[in-house]
Amino acid sequence: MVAGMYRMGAAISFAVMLLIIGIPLWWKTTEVHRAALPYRQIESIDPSNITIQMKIYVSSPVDRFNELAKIVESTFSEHTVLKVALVPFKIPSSEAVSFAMLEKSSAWIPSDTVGNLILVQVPSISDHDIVVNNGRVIYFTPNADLHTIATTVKDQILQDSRLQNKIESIVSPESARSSDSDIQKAMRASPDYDVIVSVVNSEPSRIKIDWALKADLKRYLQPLMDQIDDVSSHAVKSQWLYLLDLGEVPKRDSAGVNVISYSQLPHIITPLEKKLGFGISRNPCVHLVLYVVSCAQTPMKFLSESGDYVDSMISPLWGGIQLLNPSDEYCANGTSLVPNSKEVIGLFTSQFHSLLGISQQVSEGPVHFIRPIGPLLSTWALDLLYRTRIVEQITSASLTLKSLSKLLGEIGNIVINEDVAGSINLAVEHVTKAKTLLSQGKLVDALYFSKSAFSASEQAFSNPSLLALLYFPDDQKYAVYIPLFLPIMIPVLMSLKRIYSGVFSEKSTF
Amino acid sequence: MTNFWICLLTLIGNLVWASGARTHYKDEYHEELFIKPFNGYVYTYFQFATIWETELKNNTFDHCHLFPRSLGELIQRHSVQELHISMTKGLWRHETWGYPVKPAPPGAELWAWFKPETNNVDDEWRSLAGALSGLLCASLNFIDGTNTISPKLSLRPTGAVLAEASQPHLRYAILPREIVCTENLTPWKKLLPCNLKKGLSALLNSDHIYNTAYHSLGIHFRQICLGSGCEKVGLELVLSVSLVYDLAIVGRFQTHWSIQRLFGQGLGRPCPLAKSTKIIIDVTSNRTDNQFTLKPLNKFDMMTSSRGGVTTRLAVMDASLHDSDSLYNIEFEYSRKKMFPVNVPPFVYASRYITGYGQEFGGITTKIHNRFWQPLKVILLENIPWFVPTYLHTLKVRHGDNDLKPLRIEFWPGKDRERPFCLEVMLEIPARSVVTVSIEFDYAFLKWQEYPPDANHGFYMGAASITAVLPSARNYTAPPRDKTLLIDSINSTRTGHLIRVTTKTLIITLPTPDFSMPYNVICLACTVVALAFGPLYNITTKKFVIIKNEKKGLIRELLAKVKKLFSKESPAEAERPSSHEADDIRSEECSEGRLKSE
Repeated sequence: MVAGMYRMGAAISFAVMLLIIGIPLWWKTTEVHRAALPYRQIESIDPSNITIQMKIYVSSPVDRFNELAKIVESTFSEHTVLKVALVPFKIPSSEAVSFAMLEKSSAWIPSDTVGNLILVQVPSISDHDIVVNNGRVIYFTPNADLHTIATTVKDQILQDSRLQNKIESIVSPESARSSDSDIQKAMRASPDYDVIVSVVNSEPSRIKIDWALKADLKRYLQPLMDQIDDVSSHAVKSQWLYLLDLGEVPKRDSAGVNVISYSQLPHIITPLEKKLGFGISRNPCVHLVLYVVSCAQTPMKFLSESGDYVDSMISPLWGGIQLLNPSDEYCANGTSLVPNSKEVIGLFTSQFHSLLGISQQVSEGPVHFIRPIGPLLSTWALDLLYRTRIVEQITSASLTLKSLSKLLGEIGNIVINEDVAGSINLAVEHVTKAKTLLSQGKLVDALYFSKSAFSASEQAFSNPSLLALLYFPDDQKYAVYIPLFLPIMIPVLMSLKRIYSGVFSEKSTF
Repeated sequence: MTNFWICLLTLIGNLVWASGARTHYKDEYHEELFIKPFNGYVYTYFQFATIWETELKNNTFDHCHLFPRSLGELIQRHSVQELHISMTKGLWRHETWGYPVKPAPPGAELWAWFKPETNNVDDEWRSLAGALSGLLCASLNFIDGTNTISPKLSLRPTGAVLAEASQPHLRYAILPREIVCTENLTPWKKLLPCNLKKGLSALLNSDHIYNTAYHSLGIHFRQICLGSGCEKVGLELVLSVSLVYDLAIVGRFQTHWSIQRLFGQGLGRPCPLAKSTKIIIDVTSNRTDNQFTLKPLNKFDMMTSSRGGVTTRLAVMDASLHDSDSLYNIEFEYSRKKMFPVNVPPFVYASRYITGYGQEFGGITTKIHNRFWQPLKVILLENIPWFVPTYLHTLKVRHGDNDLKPLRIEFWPGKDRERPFCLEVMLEIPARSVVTVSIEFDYAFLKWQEYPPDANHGFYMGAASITAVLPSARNYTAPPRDKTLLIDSINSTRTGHLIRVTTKTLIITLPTPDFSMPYNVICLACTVVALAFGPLYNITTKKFVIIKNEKKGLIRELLAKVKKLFSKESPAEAERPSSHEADDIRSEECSEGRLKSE
């Protein structure tokens, strides 16, 4: 009887050792390391739901203000992203307000204007009824049509539909409206960009170019880069390339112009790209290429879609090319060609504006836009860029987080190390923070957090450690251990029944 | 008179060009081709040099003109001060060919000096190698801590360094197994301002440069002094191609050869960006050996260069004067059919081999020859991989039957999977003698994942190198260290001529396992454990009961079984008799025990 008890004890201890200690230990030691992730929080993020709160300060008589408030409410009713609040505001001035006086000083402007707008009624403006200045101020005269003001603000300055489209194009790219070309052209968000200006001289034996490119870029292009530094930092670089062909043979048309047709345009980038040397950069690159046409091919023009001669083209997300046709004097006499920096870099600047997704607003009817100085963007356009980037970064970050959490949830043997988990946690936290800040109307802070959320989520998604064990699936693990487990487990499992009945019968005897 | 005109013409050419973009960048570009006929071989060396008068700052390469921006960006990003890359196929035979302009061991060699203020040199080095591997389509990304050394004596910065500046950091690695081919030439040629379209580089047609006995691509970047007093500093980038043609292959056993025969095409217009384009042919052998005629002779200027006590005859041609679209050829016609000229070996050369047999008594032996009439000091650099553990106490330096005491030994022991062994030995080799340096090693076992595909091929051990300063310039072709261009080496006597002789790569066979072994080991171990577990389990948990043996014949037993099957239809009687028979331990498992005890 005692021996029987021992045997029973032995069987029980075998079962305990193997089933209760052994298997969990084996499971734990061969398990893939997966750090805890905030799955629930990620689940609750809605990528397409972003609200930006903004204010429009209005300085006008009370009845005009009330009227405007009504119109604005009805005009902006279809806004989904921007929530606009009208705030009455009085200009602290001893004199009577006038357009010229207000334009001269900026002391009267309220302090929290970033992301907001100011509407000011002035007694009169020469030539126009409504004037949008470089800052965030819109002046209007007493006889300006309030509907026009509201639609101008809605369609040209705030452009809520654009933000909507941006979100839509990220969330469901296939269903996005392709008509909005600005969105298609715009560069994707990235914390750093390299802007590479390349001067391509296709015939250095005959054309000499004399151009202080470095200094001119610093003078004409750098201010723009400094202005948008908060959005992403752009490093301006330049290089000279020689003896490069466009790779497409231009056709001589009836006017004696060598034209590269619209359908040929996509093919001229590849031969150029071979030498542009972008692959070495760590950041995405924007190329601005000045192509100096060889003497034999001059004059060369691109044909636009509608069949017009143009000197420049933009390839969305890649950059822009412009042609420089040297006149005969440079070809024949060997005189040094000095490009007009202002013109050439001015064209680069406007190409860069469209690559950023900002189109130049044209004055139309009673509305007049004051043109910004040099390459700079108007402040309201900068606000627009901020909003677009914030929306893009938050939406992409949330989508990346969602698909990453889905992927990690579905495939069990992906390693999640602390780095990845840290990035994901940071991204989640910053997405939430950026959204909160947006609903408070703090644009600059929101931009900062959205940027860091975006790069953290990208970093987590593309972390190489995720792939470490992807090729060692679980079934192989079982295959390796089955020669051990099968012969050991059969007697132990079979003894379970006996242990059960033994213990049961023992109890019944007591 | 003709000389004068040539000078004047180039001067005019320079003046015209100087008004272009160069005024803003202060950089210039030179192309040179050096040809030297050997015994049945022809050495052709292309040098494409960019000299840029600027300081090496943190943003120097943001705006580039003739300097390739992609390479500049790497130099800038990884705070490199000096960079040398060579990608070579074939072995330079010093004994018969003398010294090349740029020495290069077989495979890929990369060494870089990082600025003294660089913080994380090893990380920069690794990412530099990775980026270069992308730029040049080479496997330089396999360079990491396990094959990188930083020699103390053998390599010195070749460029200008401030005297009071602290020492830059050196990293050196060789990939002996790297195979160099067209995929490396294509990205390499993108670094040239004129591509392969104009100038001397147009000769580099991959159809014709890969049938050579030796070819080597090189990229050499350094800081230089401009002007005699080093008032101005500049950056120098030399892109080079060394080719050694075997005339037996190229010429189909005809003695005469030409540019067209070697490269498949003639020479054309010069590169319009080049400030000078020179073709330099070493015709010294013309006076002693099999006489040859150079065609077209009138385009060449014959020059006599006296350098380090050696006089060479050079034929120099200014290829930038060629101003038409037609192609031209340079031909060599020999007076006799066969040529067996006397070979004059250089003063210092070396050979290297593995000793031992099977996998025992492994050792590396390097023989260094000194044919000079005076003793010479040399530095031997051995770069031994970590999987060949080497023992310093076995280092033997022998001269004939006598031991020779090295002047200095630097040994940096390797660590498994972390760093290689680095051995530097400074020796004085007696006049006209051979010194043997040998060291012994073990064959290490690797982990199963460390074996490369085709592990039975063997493991490569990178070339060793021997650095020496020769008092004479015999067989010496490189320009002096303070100059860039080959044309400047004419009549340039310096006190010493630095050479670096690279040796053969070695291949060793490490013990190679059967690669299904790990799985087999796991399975076997598991099976053994399981087999041990069974009896142990039975002994501890089961009681052996002896049951009276009722002898039955086979037929009876079968019948009984059939009966049992049928009786199952009445389940009430089926198992009852057995459950009450034994004591409480008895259960269904005891039937197993019974079977065993039977």
